[in-house]
Amino acid sequence: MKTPLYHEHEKLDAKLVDFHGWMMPIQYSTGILKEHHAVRTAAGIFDVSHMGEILINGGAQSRSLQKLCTNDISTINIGKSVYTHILNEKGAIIDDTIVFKTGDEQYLMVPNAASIDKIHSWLNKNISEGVNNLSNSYSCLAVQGPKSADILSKIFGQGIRDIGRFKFAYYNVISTNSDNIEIDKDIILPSNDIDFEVDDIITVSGTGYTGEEGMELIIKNEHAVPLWNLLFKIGAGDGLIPIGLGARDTLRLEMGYLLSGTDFTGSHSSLESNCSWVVKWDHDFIGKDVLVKQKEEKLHQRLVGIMLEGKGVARPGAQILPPIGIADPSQADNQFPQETEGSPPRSDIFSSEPIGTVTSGNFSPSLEKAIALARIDRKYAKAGTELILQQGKRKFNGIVTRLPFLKK
Amino acid sequence: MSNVPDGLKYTEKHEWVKVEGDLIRIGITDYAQSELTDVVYVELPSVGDDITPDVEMGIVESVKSTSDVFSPIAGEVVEINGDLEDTPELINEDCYAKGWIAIIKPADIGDVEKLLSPERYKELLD
Repeated sequence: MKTPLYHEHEKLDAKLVDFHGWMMPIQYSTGILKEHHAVRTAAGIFDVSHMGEILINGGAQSRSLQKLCTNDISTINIGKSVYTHILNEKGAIIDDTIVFKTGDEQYLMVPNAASIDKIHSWLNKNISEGVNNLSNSYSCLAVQGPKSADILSKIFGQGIRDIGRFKFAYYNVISTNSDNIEIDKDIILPSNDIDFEVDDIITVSGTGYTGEEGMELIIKNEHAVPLWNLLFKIGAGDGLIPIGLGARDTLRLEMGYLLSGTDFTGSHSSLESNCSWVVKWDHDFIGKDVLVKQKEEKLHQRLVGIMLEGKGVARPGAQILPPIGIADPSQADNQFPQETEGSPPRSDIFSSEPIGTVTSGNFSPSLEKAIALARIDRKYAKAGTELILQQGKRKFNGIVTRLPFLKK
Repeated sequence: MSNVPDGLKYTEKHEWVKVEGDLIRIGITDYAQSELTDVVYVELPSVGDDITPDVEMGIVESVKSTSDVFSPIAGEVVEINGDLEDTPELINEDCYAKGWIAIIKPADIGDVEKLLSPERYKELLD
């Protein structure tokens, strides 16, 4: 599949790869490192049109949707959005997604590209009607980086600076053709008066996947090419460049953000994915009973950040081994202070049985060190714990590090 | 389109070999560096290492993946490109010159003839 911007990527000399069935740019001619630094220091634009847009309409439907989300979507106002997990009956994450409250009884959900069909089926199964998959009609551009507000305000007006994190607003499209798009700079606050599907609007959302300030622009497909090109024209002076999936991955990994299908793969709960903050316990949702049990038993694995020492990158699948060479067992108590969860059995300390697996691993261009996310035995999850990462024949030393890796 | 200079020999695993008297200089090809994307670490062999054909003799890490560097023929490492320790990006910027990886004294220089010609390597890339 191709997004409406496929030919624009070709013109920009992108290296296109198959990403869950979508031909997407992994990098442009500038390369992943420069793209990464551009987002951290200036601005970058991402085509994330492969992501989905599913609209859920109706009062009963909204209440059903609430029962599919670990987070509480019922208390947010129109014009706000929330990050949530969608779990199956076994408590495993089907997808992580952002849910926008677009009306009193209407929500927009943005699932990951590889999860659109899974999530659409799940919604159809659990919400009888009123679920409308708009993914083929909508595109999404992300503009991220410290210069993003300066650039976007030249197109959308100064009001865009006030939208804020996890809030969104609309803008009217005055006219559009393949070469140009004209946008009304009057900000429109979301309300029941706006029909998300019918009105010719652009949704500007204070969200992103980079840790930088920035916006995501949800647009109808016909606006994608002219808006993409307008952003380049307006943003070039501020250092805006196109960013591929390669830098998208290094940027999100520095923040410890999860990648669907990589950091959770259909068998891990939110608690096993460093996301207890996404779970609101005072409402009912599918999978809650499993999470409650995990919370009580405290046996589940945990997802942690690991910073590597020296050269070498631990990739997904690399095994985590416990620290070795603790000659004096009393040292072990210093290594693992007594906690309510208990210290690890001695046998663990001296064995080299794997205690976990790397889920994501790459070089951090900002920190100039290798970093990884790993799902490990919770006994070793305390920040500062030294571990060994085994990648094939190679072994690296690593240290459990509080997320995000990049402190801002 | 990948750059495949004349006057070099190539391997199916995307290394290039340049004959310099009775020694050979090796590195990875333009196609390989392009597929890897930005290189961030290079693990070099040590001088004096005996190397065996098709066995890993070094590692190149990029912001996308980890890739082994394979020995094209049997021999002994006589020199390594220490510049790659601090400036691994030389592999992206100049893979056929400043981004070289090692100089090898082949057990049998005649083995070089068995490697791919530029024409054959280009066919492989097609």
